[in-house]
Amino acid sequence: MRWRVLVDPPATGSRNMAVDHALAACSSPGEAVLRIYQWGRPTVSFGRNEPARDHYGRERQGGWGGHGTVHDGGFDFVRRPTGGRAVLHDRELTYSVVLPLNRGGVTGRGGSLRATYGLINQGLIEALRLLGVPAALAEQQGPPAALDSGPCFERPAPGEVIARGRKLVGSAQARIGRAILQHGSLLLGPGQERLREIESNFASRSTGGHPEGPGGDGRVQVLVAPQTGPISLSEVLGREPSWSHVVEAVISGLKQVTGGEWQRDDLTELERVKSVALEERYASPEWTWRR
Amino acid sequence: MSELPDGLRYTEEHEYVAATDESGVYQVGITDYAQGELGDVVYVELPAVGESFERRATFGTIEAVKAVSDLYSPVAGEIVAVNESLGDDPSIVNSDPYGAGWMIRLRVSDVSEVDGLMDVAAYRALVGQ
Repeated sequence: MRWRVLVDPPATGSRNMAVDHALAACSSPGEAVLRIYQWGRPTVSFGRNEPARDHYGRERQGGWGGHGTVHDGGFDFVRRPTGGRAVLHDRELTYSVVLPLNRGGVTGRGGSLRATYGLINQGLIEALRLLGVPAALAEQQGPPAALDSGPCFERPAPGEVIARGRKLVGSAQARIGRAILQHGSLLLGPGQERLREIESNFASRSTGGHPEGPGGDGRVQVLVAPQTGPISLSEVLGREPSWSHVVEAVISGLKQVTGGEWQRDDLTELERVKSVALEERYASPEWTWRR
Repeated sequence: MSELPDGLRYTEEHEYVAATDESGVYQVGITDYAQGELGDVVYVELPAVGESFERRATFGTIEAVKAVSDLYSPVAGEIVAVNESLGDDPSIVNSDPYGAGWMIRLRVSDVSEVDGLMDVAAYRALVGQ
């Protein structure tokens, strides 16, 4: 398998989702892609089918239509092509991996949706080992989480990457045509708890209640229990590692697990054109607030 | 090992097509192999009765805990029924994919398209079972 590596500068949520989608839509047999990127502004992404209106939405002038991504308290909002629940993208490294599906829905390595998930997460564990972070794969904890059961990082799904028992990387997949897209967030610093603040603030405005905790001191009550919520690299290491250090570790970790020929690359012309066309969808409020 | 019944037709996208009591109407869902790959299904989005789809057109989406996949119409046809109960309990797709976990019933435009789909032996070979 030939691996292309794209390391992109920070971009909008709609641009980032459009590029990931375009890479999957243009996938070629025998060729995989690892893309690493950041976000130009703090952005909340929703899962493809997550009921976001009820948790994060608000009635805007002209209903749910209007302009592009919606701003609220400095956040942008976008809806991913992949599954799962809300993530706040801010102090993180975001990766996406595209693997072609052969006839029958298996990848060139003989894997499948589930095998690919395991393979990539093993690569991330290797990357974390290179950074000095002991990490593991989460086991099943109780029944599967419903789509409206709160932010993604509150609880690891089986097979996700955890450190000290808490979720360090949140990932999601989609089958797009004849390819698998998996993307996810490796937390570099804290901040996921702000998602609950957005949710609480919206619930407060919707119901006329107050988002403050019992003390009524104006501070938002954080509902994430520390021992079960997210954890970041800075918390584990006691410092936030440099961006370039983490990028190189992620590339090396995945390379060690998958093998193949690896080389740095850019979008092809076909991918660029496709991504521009898809960006319109990912920037539209109709898509972002479809549920 | 997945349950792959004889007598059904299968697609490369892991849908199955089963004859019903009504001539020209076929029941469609995803295979046991597909539900096993996806894992715990948490959401299924299906079309409205009366909509028509071309072969391989997307008629809905299915989401498991982490993975989303489009659902593809195995053959061209018109939707005559959808399984509304999946809205309340999508996990039926996991527990009974060929029975209570069915998704749509299609009035097929050209029955010969059904005959052109894979039989169980071909599908077994496809998924390596």
